[in-house]
Amino acid sequence: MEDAQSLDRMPEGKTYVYNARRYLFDVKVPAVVAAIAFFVAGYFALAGMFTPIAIGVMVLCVYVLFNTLVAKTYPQTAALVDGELRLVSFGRTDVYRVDEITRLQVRENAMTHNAYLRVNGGGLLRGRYFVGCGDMYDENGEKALDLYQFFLDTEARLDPDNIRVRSRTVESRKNAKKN
Amino acid sequence: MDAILGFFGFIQGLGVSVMMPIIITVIGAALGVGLGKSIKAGLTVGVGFIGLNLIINNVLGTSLVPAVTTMVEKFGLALSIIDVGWPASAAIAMGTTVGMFIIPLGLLVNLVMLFTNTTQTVDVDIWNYWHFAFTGSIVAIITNDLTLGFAAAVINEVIVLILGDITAPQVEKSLGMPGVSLPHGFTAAFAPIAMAVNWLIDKIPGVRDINLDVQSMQEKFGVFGEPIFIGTIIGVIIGCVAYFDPADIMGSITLILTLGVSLGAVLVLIPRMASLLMEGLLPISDGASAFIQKRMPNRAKIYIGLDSAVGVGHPVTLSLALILVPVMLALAVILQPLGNQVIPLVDLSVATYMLVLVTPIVDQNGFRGLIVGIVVLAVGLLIATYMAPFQTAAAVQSGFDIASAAGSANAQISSLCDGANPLTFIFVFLSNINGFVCIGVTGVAAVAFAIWNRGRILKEAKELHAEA
Repeated sequence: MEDAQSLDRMPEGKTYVYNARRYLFDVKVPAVVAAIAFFVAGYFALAGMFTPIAIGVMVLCVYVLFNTLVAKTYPQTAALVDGELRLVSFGRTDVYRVDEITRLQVRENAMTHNAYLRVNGGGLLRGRYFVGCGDMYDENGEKALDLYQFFLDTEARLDPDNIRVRSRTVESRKNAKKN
Repeated sequence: MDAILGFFGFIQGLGVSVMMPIIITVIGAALGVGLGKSIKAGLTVGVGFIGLNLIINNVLGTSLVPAVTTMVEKFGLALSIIDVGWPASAAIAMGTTVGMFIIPLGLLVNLVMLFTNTTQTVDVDIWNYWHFAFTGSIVAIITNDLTLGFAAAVINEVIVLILGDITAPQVEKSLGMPGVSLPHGFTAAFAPIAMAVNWLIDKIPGVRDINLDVQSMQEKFGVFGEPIFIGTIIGVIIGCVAYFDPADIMGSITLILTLGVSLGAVLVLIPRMASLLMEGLLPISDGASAFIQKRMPNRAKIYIGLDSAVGVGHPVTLSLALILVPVMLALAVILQPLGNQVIPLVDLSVATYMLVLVTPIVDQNGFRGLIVGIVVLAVGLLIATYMAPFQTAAAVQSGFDIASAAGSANAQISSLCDGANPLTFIFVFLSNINGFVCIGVTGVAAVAFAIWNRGRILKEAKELHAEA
């Protein structure tokens, strides 16, 4: 029953694209800042100035650049088409058949509607995503709230006993009562 | 006993960046997450904390402190109490007898509260137990009674854990950190003030409708509402006030722009560190959830208590912290007739930690955050002045080198963290009346608070399991 409901609510056939300006400031600018900081810190490390701090900064910059450009964790486009979840970032498209997703771990920000996802456990190079549903829009200019809800519903469908999922259900029921 | 104390002393000495991965790994393994995954999670969290500390203490601290020192010299701001910063307070706290025992004692208190359902927080941030030791140490010095000092530390922890519980839903919602609470001895102490001011603003027609959140800033100001520009602009303004010298225009411009770009970079990079922490914590919080489902099926949700550094990445918190730097200096001068003698210096970046819970409490409204921030700072400066003689006495007792920190062995010292801590102030103020009055009043309040929290937790658990 829960399965069917969750799949029924799936916003099938919809493609959401990150607002271009927001993507620039949320994803591209931090990557550029990290790249610059990496070289500046590298210079300091080689010159023997603030070496431990400089190495620390370099490690963090590598994390930012790796996530953005290698693991491609910040999708610019997300689509639910033909029973597939498609996430596109910097030219790479990751495709997951919805009925083949066995595990979806979601850490949501209810305020901004952004979500951190791990699909099927997630890996170093594929399966981890920061999806900015609050800044993504479909062709009609509607925010990707359906997509955000789809992630939550899918996690609830696959792991209904999870205490966070239950807590979320209780919270949304309370909020619905309040409103 | 010596071996046990020696072990906890060693753990304490490792610092938060080393200790946190070890604790996360141990907890992960105990929750059945698997050793490999736990180590990976622990290391990820450790790197996140190193990153946050680097950016907050080094990039932010090293950029702001020279600018503020220049402002103080330029405008001839002379106040008599030296802000020696939180590392000095931590050293003072951990150098006392209360400090020596605080980690095992703190863990025991947390366990007892978890088993009695008086808290939902597993406070893994044991490095920050020093805040409780700080309160306990000062109470012990004032009352000349170690037992009262230990009692004060325990009561302080109980109150802070409950504050962590009740602010956790707002932390989850606003800071995007599901399953996390912030039972931080310094940050949580400002939550009641923020709640009171927020409540007061709600009662003022007109003012209550003013809302300045990040989204509306970005909509109103376009690219200039982006965190990178906000950081840069605030940095340039602080730089102009501090460094502008008509005799050396080129040199001034270099210093001003460097400060602007540094603060802009801080606002861009800190949120990425929060992502790193979230990635590291995900397997642990899922492990905790699975553990509760399996072993304690009737329990309410459990939060992992972390250092409030995880919450500083919010753009409203960071922007407010930067705006409040010059405000803090102005307040120090304005409040002089009311008794303030503290000039904030080393602890300038600590304002960020003061505001971590303010942002969720005011629902990310920058306007309300600013009002709360000004109130919190004003109260904090007066508290820090009041606390200075006691903090100085504690420093002397714990063997802290005042001369090298403050320039003179006879100087009075204080710090924003924890010298400006309102909870610590209540303990110290009551201890000055009478030690037993202090423990009696705060103890009764803590027990009542714990009973109320237990009722709330049990109600939540009932609602949660009614769904099953």
